[in-house]
Amino acid sequence: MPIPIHTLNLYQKPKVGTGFIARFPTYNYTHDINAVGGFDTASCDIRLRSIDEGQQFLDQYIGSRVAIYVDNPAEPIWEGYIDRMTFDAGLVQYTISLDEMTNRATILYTNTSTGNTGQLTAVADNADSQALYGIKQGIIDIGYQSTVPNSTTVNAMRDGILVHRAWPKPSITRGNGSGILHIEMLGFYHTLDWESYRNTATTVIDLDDFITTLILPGLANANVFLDNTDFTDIAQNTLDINRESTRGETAWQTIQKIQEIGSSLNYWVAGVTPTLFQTGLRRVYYRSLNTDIEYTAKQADGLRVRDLYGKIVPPWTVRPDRGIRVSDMLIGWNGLGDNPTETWIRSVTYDANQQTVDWQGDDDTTAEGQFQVLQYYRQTQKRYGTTRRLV
Amino acid sequence: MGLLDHKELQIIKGIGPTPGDTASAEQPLVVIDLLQENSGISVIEWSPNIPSLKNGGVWADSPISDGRLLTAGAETNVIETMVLQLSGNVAQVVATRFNQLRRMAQDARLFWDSQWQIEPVYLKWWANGAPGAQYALISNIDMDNQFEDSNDSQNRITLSIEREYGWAGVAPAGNAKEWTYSPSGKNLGLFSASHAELLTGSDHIISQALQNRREWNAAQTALTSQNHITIPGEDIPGDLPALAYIGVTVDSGTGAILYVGRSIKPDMIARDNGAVRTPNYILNACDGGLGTDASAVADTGAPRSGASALQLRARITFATPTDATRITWSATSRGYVDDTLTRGRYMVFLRARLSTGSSNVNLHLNIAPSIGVNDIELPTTSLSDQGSGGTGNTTYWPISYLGVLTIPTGESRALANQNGLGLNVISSGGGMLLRLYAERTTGAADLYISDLILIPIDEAAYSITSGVSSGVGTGNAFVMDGTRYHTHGRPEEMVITGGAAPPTTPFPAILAGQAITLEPKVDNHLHFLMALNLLNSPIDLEFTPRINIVPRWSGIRDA
Repeated sequence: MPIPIHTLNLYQKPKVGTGFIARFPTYNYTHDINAVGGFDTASCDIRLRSIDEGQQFLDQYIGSRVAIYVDNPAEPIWEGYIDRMTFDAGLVQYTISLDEMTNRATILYTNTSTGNTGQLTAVADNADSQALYGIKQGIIDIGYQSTVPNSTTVNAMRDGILVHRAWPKPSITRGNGSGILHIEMLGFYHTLDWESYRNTATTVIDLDDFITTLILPGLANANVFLDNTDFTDIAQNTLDINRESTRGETAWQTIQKIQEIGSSLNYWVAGVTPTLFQTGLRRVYYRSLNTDIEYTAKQADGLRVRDLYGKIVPPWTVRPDRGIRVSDMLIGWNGLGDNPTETWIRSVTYDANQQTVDWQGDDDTTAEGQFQVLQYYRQTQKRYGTTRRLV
Repeated sequence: MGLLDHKELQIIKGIGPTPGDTASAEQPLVVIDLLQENSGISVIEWSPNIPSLKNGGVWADSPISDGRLLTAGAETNVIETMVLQLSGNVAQVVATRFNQLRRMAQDARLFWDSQWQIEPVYLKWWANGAPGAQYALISNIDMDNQFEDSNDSQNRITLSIEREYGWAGVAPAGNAKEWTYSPSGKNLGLFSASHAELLTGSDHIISQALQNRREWNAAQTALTSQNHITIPGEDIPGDLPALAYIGVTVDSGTGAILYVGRSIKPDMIARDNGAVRTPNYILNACDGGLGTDASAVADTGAPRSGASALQLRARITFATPTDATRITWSATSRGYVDDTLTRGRYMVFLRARLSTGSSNVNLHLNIAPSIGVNDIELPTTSLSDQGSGGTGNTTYWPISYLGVLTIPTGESRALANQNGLGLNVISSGGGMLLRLYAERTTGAADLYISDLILIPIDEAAYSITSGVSSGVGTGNAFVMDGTRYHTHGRPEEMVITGGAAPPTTPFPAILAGQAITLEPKVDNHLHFLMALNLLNSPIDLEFTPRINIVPRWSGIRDA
């Protein structure tokens, strides 16, 4: 069969609206989906019809919502927003990105004038940028700072950062003339890293209530990127935690902190769902991980993912947070401990060109460093940051 | 004359006005005739090529298993190598011919990488003995020039022409109705401007009034309404998938979303009773077995179902509100499902609503290969839409998306029977089961169910969402153009929805999924589901698809 065309449907920036703009065939498409987070990253190339179209992309579409479709028009295989674009136009290569953009700035510092207490300046906003992109907050920790005779210095620093970084940052370098537009996309759970969550109270609260009564209702971006009032996919967890959050954690980091506690019975996952067909909205999920074996695979054909009956599953539809069993190794294994033929899928990586999907479990050395970086609570082990063994 | 004694061979830029159109905005054609020896250009050597597997294909290969398996493959562009002789009694004549070729090469490239060069550049070839001309869009032309020593000015030029992989029966940017009118199409006479309309009339490859539902007569021997159209295989020549222009005009009501899926799965004879069975992709609620708290209720807003073919909806009262089987469709159901007959991959919609507000029902569909075997469960979706409830309501049936269903459930795409006789269909029991589960989590509403709709996605499927906020009203159309007409030759799908009939003010629309092509020489069935905004899919919507095609060949056309 020919590889089904992977198309990118482009929509308005979520802060601006939900309108459809255009559809583009993609090349060299890949995506990652994580059990914790949901749609994580994706990238593709687009062949532009002209240099003018490339410039239009750079000028207008950073931050726009995207949905990737293959064979099922009712359900995209991946969704998110455009975080970075690189356009190779002749001898010049343009790049533009949201990564360094900050349209709400705050300075965090240790005030030496008040007994070395941690303090946060009031926020400063660029309303014009926020009206297009939503609120993307940057908290800059400057360490020790005195506020004698006043706070002018820290406020000036804050305002200067805002002026410099309130808009997406472009860069220009030499190119090789491919005429290709390369797009890098992030899933919507990353927008929960766009704002901080701060709470100075020190009382305990149930883990699920922390999300539903404090974090989500308190989102500065409210329902721009997800429905922060829909708690259908948030399961009850009566373990509790001290709600104090004063170290500049983002909303996502706070949710991660809650998620990684899990329950006494199981590991939990959290993230943002795909856009729901019925409502056209996304919502946060928080629940116990799914340990059901839903996929199988065979060594004999290079681990193509199959369903429980053995039917090959289209690789672009494979999802994490479920188990997979390799059915033609260690047949009949019945030893102690976890079955080595079974893995809980923490993340999947799909490559459209190769028509392959790779999955990562909890003991994947290629992903270990990344997992360490992405986790809220990090393990203190010698091998962090180095390859443990060759594979 | 042999196969290489070509009747026509030209490089053409543009599509030109339609015959009989005196007010066309199309530019005149620019033609380089490669067979006009007397005027200075002639092909002295050309053997047509055919496409091959791009980059050798994508294979699943393992050192611990024999052989390898093709995972995916696509066709390459084709490089045609032509040797031309340019000659003339003065050098200026030769230079002019040469410059014409160079200009055409520039225009071919600019068609792809500029915003302003909109005229397609293509090959037109009428092979000796072929029934007509065939066309291929050109991506690039490279020229290798060799001056020759003679009394006349003379060049030998080798053209390397990179073209699309298939030869089409209509020029790029052409109107697919040219094929319909041609002797190889429907032979309707000479094509002219008065025949050009794509969305009205009946002079198309096929057109048929359809309904947004499917109903059987009481004896279950014939359909009394249907949501699918069949393009006969005899109307689709070629050896490559034909491009299709699918215009769906709304005859009654208003639509805003259209789902279309293609299936070439054939009718099959049921082994046990010899009846010819047609794959059934809409399962009416009361054609299934009604389960826990489910009953059939007369409803003039519901499709005809049941042994008496009456208008019935299924009503679930939730005396048992927990998750339970509410409807089961099986081989013995009217409408008939079977793991061989209905094999494929589908997006599944349920047309259902609640009787009152402030209630929520969770739904999921299970499939089991046979009784007693573990089900495969599709994801759960919630429904809280109520509509206006009651009977006679044909205007508010929400559709709930239940996920993707794959039939059969086993490892293979098709299951040969253990009787040793290969694939077969059995109408009496033992076959596949589709079970609809529902639980009411809040409120006191009843659940009303109209039907379960399967739209095939394993071959090709797309959806069009109207660019008009008020939807596509009566007389207006959803258009999917894969023939390159609306894009003026660019090989990209174009979807539009109508503003007036015919759509003099077309609006861009949202396309999701794959453009549909038609497999040659087999019956192609297109299945439709239309809905309004907010996913309201009335069963009384009526629409007419009008379909025209551009057939394609790898080599010389044979029709």
